[in-house]
Amino acid sequence: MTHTVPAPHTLRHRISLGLKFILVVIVILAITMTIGAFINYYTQKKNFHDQLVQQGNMLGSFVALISPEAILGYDFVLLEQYMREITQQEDVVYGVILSPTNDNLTSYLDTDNPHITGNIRANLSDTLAYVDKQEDVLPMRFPILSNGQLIGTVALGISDRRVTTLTQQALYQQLVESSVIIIFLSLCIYLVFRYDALHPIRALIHSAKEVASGNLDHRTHINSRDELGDLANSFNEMTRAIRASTEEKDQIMEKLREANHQLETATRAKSAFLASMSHEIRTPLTSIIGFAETMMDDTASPSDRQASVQTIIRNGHHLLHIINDILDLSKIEADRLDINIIPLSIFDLITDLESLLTMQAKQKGLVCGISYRYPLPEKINTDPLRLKQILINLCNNAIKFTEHGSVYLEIGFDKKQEILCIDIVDTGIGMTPEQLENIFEPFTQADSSTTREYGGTGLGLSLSLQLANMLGGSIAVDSRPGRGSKFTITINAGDMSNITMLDTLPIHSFGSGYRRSRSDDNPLKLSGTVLLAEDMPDNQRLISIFLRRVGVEVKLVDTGLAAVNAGLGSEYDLILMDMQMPVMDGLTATTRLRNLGYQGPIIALTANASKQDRDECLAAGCNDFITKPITQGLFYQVLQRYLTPSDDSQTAVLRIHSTLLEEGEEFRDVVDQFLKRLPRILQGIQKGYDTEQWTDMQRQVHDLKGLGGGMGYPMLTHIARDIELPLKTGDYHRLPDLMQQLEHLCQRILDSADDEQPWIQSQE
Amino acid sequence: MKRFTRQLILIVFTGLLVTGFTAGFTATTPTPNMASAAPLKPLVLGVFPRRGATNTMRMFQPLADYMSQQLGRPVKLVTARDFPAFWDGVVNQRYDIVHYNQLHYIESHKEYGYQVILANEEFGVKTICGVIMVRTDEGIDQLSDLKGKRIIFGGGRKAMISYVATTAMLRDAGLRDGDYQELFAKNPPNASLAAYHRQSDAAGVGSPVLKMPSIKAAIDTSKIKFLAESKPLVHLPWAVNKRLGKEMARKVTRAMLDLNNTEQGHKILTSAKLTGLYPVTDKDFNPHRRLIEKITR
Repeated sequence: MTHTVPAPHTLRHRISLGLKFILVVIVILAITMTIGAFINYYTQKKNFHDQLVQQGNMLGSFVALISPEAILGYDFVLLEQYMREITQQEDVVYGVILSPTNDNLTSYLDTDNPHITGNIRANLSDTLAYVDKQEDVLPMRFPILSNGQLIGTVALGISDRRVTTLTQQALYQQLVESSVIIIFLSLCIYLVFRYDALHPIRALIHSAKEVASGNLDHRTHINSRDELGDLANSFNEMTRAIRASTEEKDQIMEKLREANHQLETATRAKSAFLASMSHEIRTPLTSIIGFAETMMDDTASPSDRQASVQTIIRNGHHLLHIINDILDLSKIEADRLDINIIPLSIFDLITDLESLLTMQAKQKGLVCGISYRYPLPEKINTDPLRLKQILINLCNNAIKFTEHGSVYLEIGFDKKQEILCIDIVDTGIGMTPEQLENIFEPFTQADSSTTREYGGTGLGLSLSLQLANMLGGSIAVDSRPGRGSKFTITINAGDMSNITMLDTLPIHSFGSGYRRSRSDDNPLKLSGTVLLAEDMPDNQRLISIFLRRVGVEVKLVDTGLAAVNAGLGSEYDLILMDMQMPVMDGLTATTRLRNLGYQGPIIALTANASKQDRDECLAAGCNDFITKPITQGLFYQVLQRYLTPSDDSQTAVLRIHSTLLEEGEEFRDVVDQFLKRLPRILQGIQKGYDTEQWTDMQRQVHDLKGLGGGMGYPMLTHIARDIELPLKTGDYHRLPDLMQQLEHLCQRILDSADDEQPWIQSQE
Repeated sequence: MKRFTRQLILIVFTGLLVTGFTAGFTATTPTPNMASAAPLKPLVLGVFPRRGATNTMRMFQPLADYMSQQLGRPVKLVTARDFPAFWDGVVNQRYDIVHYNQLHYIESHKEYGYQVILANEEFGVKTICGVIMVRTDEGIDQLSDLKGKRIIFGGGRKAMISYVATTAMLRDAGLRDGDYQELFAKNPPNASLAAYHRQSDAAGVGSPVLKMPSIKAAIDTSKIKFLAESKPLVHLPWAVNKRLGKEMARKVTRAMLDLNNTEQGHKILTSAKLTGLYPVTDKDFNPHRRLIEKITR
């Protein structure tokens, strides 16, 4: 709101600037010229007066010089004539020659002279005395000498009245001329002022009004380089700045509105998400708690209990998946998600994925297929964990939203741009264009009915897109309602120099597909004593169950300090060290143990799963790293690396069969051939290890890594990958344990070779 | 002022010029013998400087031109800076026609044979009186009161009217030479102004002096009175040199008398401040001779 201060109503404030200026100019000029005129007047008057006196002196002196002869010769006619002539001169009031006794020798007076007229007295002396008293009359006397003797006096009366009158007339004329000059000069100055100052000022006023009325495009055009020109330029700059500021403000306001809208949308989405999340979390929790309670029932049959346990486990995994997604998303938003770029065989990845996809699709009665557009690189550089996470998310979605038809994966590679392209095409419910607009927003699904019908948190796509972005790619989607969707993932493949391009599927991927070995869930019996440093009672109890289940003895401590003391006081085959504990945390405890010379294996237990956390643990002296929540399979897998099987395990070897055989008996010959070659492969690796031929050993391990998965033994692939890593990094001290594990695994595979059961069976 | 200065310088210059001219003329005037040898030689008209040389030349030049026209031969006007210089011309008989005062004529007639032909009529009067003038406030009421006083006379001792006629009256009043102080002004107007301005106690002048405009303008006549006035005498004469011969003298006389009868003649006379000319004879100057004799006895 603006408030205008009313202008004062005095005359000075009401008249215009131009009028003020012209008045000031006129006053200054008038004063200057008047002063000049009067100075000139008085100077001229003085000069005239001096000139008059000088001329009077000359005249009187001359007459005094020529008069003696006339006086002595009594030539009064001549004297009279002299005086008559003198009196006829301008400014001479009278001219009389006096005798030494002041008798006048001439008597002529110009009676027409205004000084004389009316002033004639009884005698000439009185007349002269009277005339001399007049203000403008200057009496002058010049002695007439003859041989040094005074014989008379020339009496002159000079008047400056004419000169004064002339000077005054000149003054009046100069004042009149000055007035004309003042008017002319003022007019000229005003015109210059009007052109050079008033016009620009009025233009600025007009511009100010235009700007005030909102016309920010208006510009003031003043073609001068003086202060007003600068002012106009500054005004234009100011207008531009206001315009820019206004535009910026509008943009900010628009962004604010948009942000506000997004915030409202996000708030609504979050509310919906929370409701959905509440449902999503409560649902598995309800199952977990409910079925766990049924376990308390002593009357429940073993089969019911087995079913309850499986339900609890499944819902627990589902809950873990939800929480992982949330954590990943929050890490991405906090810019704390680690990306670990390493060389990756896309064929291995798809092989891993295919089994999962095939199993889920088969459960829903969908046709599932994978096709490759060759050529494809043997390897790309990316984070396998995150890429797999993206693909699993999208594949899960594709299967989830498809009731009939098929789900296909198509893998291609843009060599020019070095981008991996994976299309996931389904024949599901599809989406409208409006629904497509928000599907990548977090906590958003196509619509709320989707959430109700299909469940889910709405985090999957958002998380996948952000992960794809972090991998230097993106996700595009094309979808039609009722016709299905096509999601295209593009991933930057990294540096592709020296990478072989393949035109066919590599041999180790042949007969792709594997099924998770149940051996992960049912480990072999182990022996040894484990020190478990964990402060949380529930975790103490759970991990203790896991350990005792495989025959391991457990010693519990609940602080890092206690772990240090126990570790140094007794001999343990393994220490499981929680990282967050009271009194002394796990990192400090591990560091102290290593510093004190403890050489046994220490495995870190932590809920912090970032690479940085992992690196810190390894740097502190940990041999391995297990993230919470603990999954049994991974837990036992890690455990096997550091504990030896129990004596009973020799008779309770878990048989491992190729998953390839599940695809059909036609693969049996291939598997058999591989099994026949496996001892030689193992020997070759062992030989390389024994002779420290690391390059040769790495090549053979690499072959085993690809071949194992392809032949339906993914555990071979895993262990081969674990061995390949220290071979690349030169961390050879880890090889002994890994070689032992490889040998043990190969032995189990070969021992199970005759078993035609597709599932690994426990011979407890 | 400048104008006056210029005029004054002009006056002085003209005076010097006229004086020099006159002197030069006087020096180169041929003798009568020489003149007769040149029939077309100009007649010389000499006029005494009664009103100053410059005024005299200006006043009488029209007459000279007229005479030249009438006589069929050049007539050259000459004057002199003062009376003695002019008299020198008379003595040397430089003038063929001459205008001077009565005393000049009487002496030149006696000594050189000049013959009077005409006399002036001024202010309409053919005669002139000598007067002794005093200021009315001087307390002088009769001529005997002038004893021991200063008396200024217009002109010198050859001034017929201002000096001879007035001195004769003083003699008649019993005042002898030495009974009073004689002062001489340049001419009668100056003498009258001297008395008026108390530079003398009385002035001997001609009676027309107070009729002169310059005197009338310069003095208050109410403060002047004539103490004594002589009998009227024939006015200033015009005479011819005897070498002109009678025929030429007659032609000259006739021509000058004709001035009274024509408009042109009146203009010429007015220029010479005359109202007329009239014929006179030598006998008309006998009264003058008696007065001269009286003061020289």
